[in-house]
Amino acid sequence: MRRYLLKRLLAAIPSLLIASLIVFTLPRLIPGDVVDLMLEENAYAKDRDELRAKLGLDQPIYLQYFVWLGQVLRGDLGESLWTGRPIVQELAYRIPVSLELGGVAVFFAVLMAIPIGVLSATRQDTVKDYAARSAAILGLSVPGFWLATLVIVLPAIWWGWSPPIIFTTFSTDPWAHIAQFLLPGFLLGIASAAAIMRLTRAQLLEVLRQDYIRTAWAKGLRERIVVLKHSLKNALIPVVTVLGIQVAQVLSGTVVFETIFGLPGMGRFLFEAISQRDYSVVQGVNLVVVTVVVGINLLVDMLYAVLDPRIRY
Amino acid sequence: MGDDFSRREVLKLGGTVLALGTVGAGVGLLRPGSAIAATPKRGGTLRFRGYDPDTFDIHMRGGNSYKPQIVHSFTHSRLLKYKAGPSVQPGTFPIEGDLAESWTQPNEVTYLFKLREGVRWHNKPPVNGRELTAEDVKYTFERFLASKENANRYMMVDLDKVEVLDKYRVKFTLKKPFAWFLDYVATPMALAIVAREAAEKFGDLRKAEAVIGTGPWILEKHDIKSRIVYVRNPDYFLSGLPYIDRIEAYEMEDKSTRLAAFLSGQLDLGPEFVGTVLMNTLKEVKERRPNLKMVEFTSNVMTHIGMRTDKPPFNDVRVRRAISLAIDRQAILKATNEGRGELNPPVPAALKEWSIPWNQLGEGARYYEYNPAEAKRLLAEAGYGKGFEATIDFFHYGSQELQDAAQMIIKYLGDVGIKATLNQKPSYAAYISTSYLGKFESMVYGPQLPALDPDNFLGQYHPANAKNQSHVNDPAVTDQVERQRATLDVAKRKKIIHDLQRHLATQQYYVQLASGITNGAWDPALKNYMPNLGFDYGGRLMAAWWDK
Repeated sequence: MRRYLLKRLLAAIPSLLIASLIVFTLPRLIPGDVVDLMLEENAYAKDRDELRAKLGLDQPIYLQYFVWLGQVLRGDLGESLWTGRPIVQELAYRIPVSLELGGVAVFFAVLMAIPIGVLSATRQDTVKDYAARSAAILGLSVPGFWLATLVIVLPAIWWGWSPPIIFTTFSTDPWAHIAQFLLPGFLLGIASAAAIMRLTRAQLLEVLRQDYIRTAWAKGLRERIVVLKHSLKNALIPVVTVLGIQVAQVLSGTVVFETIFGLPGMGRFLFEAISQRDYSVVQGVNLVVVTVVVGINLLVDMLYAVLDPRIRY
Repeated sequence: MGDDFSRREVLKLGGTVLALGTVGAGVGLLRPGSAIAATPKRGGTLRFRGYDPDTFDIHMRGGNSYKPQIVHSFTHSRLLKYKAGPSVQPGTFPIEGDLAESWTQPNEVTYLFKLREGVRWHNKPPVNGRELTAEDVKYTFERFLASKENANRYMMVDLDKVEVLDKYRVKFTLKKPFAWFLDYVATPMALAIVAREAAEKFGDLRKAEAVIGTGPWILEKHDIKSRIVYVRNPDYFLSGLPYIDRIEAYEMEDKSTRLAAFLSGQLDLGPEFVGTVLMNTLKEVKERRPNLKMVEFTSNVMTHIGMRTDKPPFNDVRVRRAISLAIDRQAILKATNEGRGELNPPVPAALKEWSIPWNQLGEGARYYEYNPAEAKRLLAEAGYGKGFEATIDFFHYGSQELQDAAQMIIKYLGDVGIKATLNQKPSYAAYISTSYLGKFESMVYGPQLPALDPDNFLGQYHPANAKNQSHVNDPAVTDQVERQRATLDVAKRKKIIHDLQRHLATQQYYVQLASGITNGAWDPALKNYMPNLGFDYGGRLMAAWWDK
């Protein structure tokens, strides 16, 4: 296991290097120029050149890349071109918000998906199964931003009430802080729940048809034991893999919910940075996201061994 | 209009204020509170939708510049400011002293300002409540001009030098007469007086810790992309002001979120800019909060169609007139703003003191009418009887209304034979750095900077101005633009500007469209308040109180 981990960690290095090259280069290919945007419409041509030099944007791109890479290796992601705030400091404020939101979303997704998936598989082709599958299709089809907008606006119009939309820090009011993540987390988790539920159902159906399960039934074991102890555990391996991918999807989906529910998270940070051509922020955030995704996938691989002791590395 | 103030009522109230002679004695501040016969009340927290700026440095700002301007309207003072309160009609900007107790102009290029004595900076390190002096004013203006990132530097481009005469007197010398000097000193968009120590300690004024001014409120807390909290400055130089103890400004980017927050009573004030209360949600807002106070007025956000007038076919005035005649401005207004708004001459209708109603534009007025038959005739006369192909550069600014208007323009142009296609720019950045600066093939459509003075809008017709999107190079127009800048006599300047608008209406270098009606809405507990154009939120709240 330790050898495998080491191998995986070593393999992550070229992945991260390639990712760093991509996250550095791509933002610069987007049309529009940060300097022109900063100086807005009243700029003087001479000032543009001076500002470009001050921001280090007058250097050849490969040189900019190596300077940036050197900084990253020293744990410094640079400063935002706009705010001047260190990106590490800003991420330290925003990452917990996105992780909390993502965490609540995954929690709700699993909470909804696994029981419904099990129910759907064990009651195959019944009304309950059809209802669960229809709900899953609906969950996958309904755009999150639309659902979030409805949830915010309609109660406000009908009853003059809305869920919390003004961000409260944990130190100010712990309960209000947690409460503000529940609704956006639930809504964000719906799409993932639908995908996980469908996969859980399909995997469980397959396992339920295995010989050893038939043996378990023949031995007169109770349904609860057969399904939860002998079937579900084996059905969950691909589900855990997908869960790892879903985490990345959930993180990328936070931007809409962070905007609508007023949460100052990483998704919004990235979105604003892209629209402002804040290259250093786009690079920094993307690098962090890539690292988190690589880390989660590593974690998923390790979970296999827990779920199935036969798996050896 | 229910509980709303109509323009007539506003004027009537203003008249009452003047009749009562309540112009604040000693401090030079209009105290409209006394005019409405109510006792100001100290305390309370006011909540509104604000913005978290990328930079708090008002002299080093880039795009989204209104954000630090709004912050500074609470925390900083200027030499002069625009009057605020129920006596001021939205769309007008009378000037009064802020840090300046008085000012004189001994000759065309010299201004002398006498500062108030005993004005103290906020009691925050590194300035620690020391007294403001003339040196601070000199430092601010020199910093304003020296900052390369300052996109507003053009406002003081004619300033030659600033001299400190003594602790409380400062002298400004211009390179040449510049009629808008006092307006630019007073505008909330630029010259907030800043402290040297703060800039030196923090390296610049970009961070929230460096927001140290002499204004009515102190920035107490900044939660990134979430909220900014201001608390009352106990040492503010106007004794007893401000009345409101605490102001919380929440970052809310999504318009549905803003609407929900307003309907559910989580916001007390809906400032007009970008419309916390949009015209198409007015019905819901009035039903849910029937006692809300509301004032409606024309927006100074003006959209126009720019053209490459330096090359065919747009160098032919008949083509430009045809384009203007092809557009049904009223229909666009109806489709995008509930039919409510005003047609803009070259100076937007919102700037009431300088704009003239479109139907008084003389010969040029007829090009504001919708007349596709005449448009076709003019095109045929210009040799484009079969029309021509064109592209329209465009960015949506996240506005559905703007996108709808763009589609209607395409349709109207098509009706007279101009086959226009929309060249949708992928981002604001792409648009602002190309099309907005005149880098486009044939046409551009979009909103303009919502300035509070006509000079900004007329500058778009000057060949040396970066905002001259239409590449206008008309010596007669250039001369008039420069003359209005140099004419100190207001009546004469107004005449030049009116004449210029009439001439420009005949030339149609830009096809100006209508501006919609916007509104400011506030909880009835907020007293002695009146919205206006511009970002001086703090200035307008300074003498208001919270009666709850």
